Amino acid sequence: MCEIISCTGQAVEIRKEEVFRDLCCTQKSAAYEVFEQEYEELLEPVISCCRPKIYLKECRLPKGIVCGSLQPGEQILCGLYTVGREISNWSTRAFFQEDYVKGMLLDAMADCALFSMEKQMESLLRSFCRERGVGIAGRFHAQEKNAMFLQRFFYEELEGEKNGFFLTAGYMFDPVKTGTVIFRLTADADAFCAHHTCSGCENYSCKRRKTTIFQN
Amino acid sequence: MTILQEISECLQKGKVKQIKALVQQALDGGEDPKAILNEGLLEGMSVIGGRFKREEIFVPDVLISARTMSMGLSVLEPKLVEVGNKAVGKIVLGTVKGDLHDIGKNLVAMMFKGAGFEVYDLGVDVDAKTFLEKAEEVGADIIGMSALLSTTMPAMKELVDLLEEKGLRDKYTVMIGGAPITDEFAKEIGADYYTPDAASAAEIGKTCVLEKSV
Repeated sequence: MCEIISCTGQAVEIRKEEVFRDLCCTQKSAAYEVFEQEYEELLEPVISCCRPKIYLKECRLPKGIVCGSLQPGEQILCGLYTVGREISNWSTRAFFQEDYVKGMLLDAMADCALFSMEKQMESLLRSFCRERGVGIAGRFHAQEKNAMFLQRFFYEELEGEKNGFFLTAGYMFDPVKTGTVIFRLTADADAFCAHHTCSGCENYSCKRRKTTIFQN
Repeated sequence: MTILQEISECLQKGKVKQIKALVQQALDGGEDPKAILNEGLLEGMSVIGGRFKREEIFVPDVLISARTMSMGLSVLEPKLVEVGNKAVGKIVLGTVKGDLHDIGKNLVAMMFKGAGFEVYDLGVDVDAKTFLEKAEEVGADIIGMSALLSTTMPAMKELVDLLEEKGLRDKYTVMIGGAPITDEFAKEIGADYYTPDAASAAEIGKTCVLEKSV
């Protein structure tokens, strides 16, 4: 039986330009100055408040779960990562206190911190691949049609409850700022197709989406 | 420009530091607190809501104005209580059972406050029974539900069904919203309105309550 690989306590990275882009707050905006000042004040406390954790486990995709082109029984590496609960709770508290600017900024900063965990994940993946002598042939995410089964699969396989996660009746992870991912493993140790590609993602309204324009 | 217009302008420009002084100046000058609220602060938020809907401004600008409104209200509220000002209406809102997303719902709560509503925000992961109990307790006009997942959308129907079952369906306006929600879905489950953004939600909510009270 495969062990769960975990990584905790690494620092997250928050990029101002990404946060402001996600918020649609440009330097031309009348709100920019206020947001910038608040952002600078929040940056350090937000970084200290994040509790990043990554869990990875090698396993086989069970029958009955559809995920992209993955086949049942295929060797995969499933991952669960989060920045923790406290930052979302802080954002919620700020909104309740009618501090809307802080609430919104905290949420956007939490998203940015979560995305920054890709770097930590990459280094964890590379050391896993080195040790196992395998490569990564592709990356997959839960999609709308398979979300229920996949989220349950992640929760059970990565011992969600034991590791401080909770799965709601609607198959949503708590902490809210949690991501899940599946990597297809290959015997080709040189392959490393572990990065997110927007073309396979269903989140069409994502502000981080890199669109491709096709021309005839 | 009248002082009420100045308040409205100040709110639209998100001048947090000036709004308190302006509201105080209006009160000291003998302006009716209700007029300061309706023709100053709420008018300003209404303009902001319209600009947001037309995509002339974005969420950060709305947030700054909402924060300015909050500051202005902190000066005005004691006076509004003294004169017995009534809210435009009451809304109970939350994110449905199984769903923990709250940003959209928070923005809706903010816009309803900005439209002069008494807002009872139940938070996230709220079941149908809790929505109804709170609505009954506070005498709400509107129940607003938010969902961001296709897996949690069915929870919206549970409330509509519960209202039917209790014979209370006509007592409340049911409004729904969230990324996967559509007008068709609202019709399918028997909700009254789907709105695509927070500003539209507050605008429609206000119209509904005012029409009902006529």
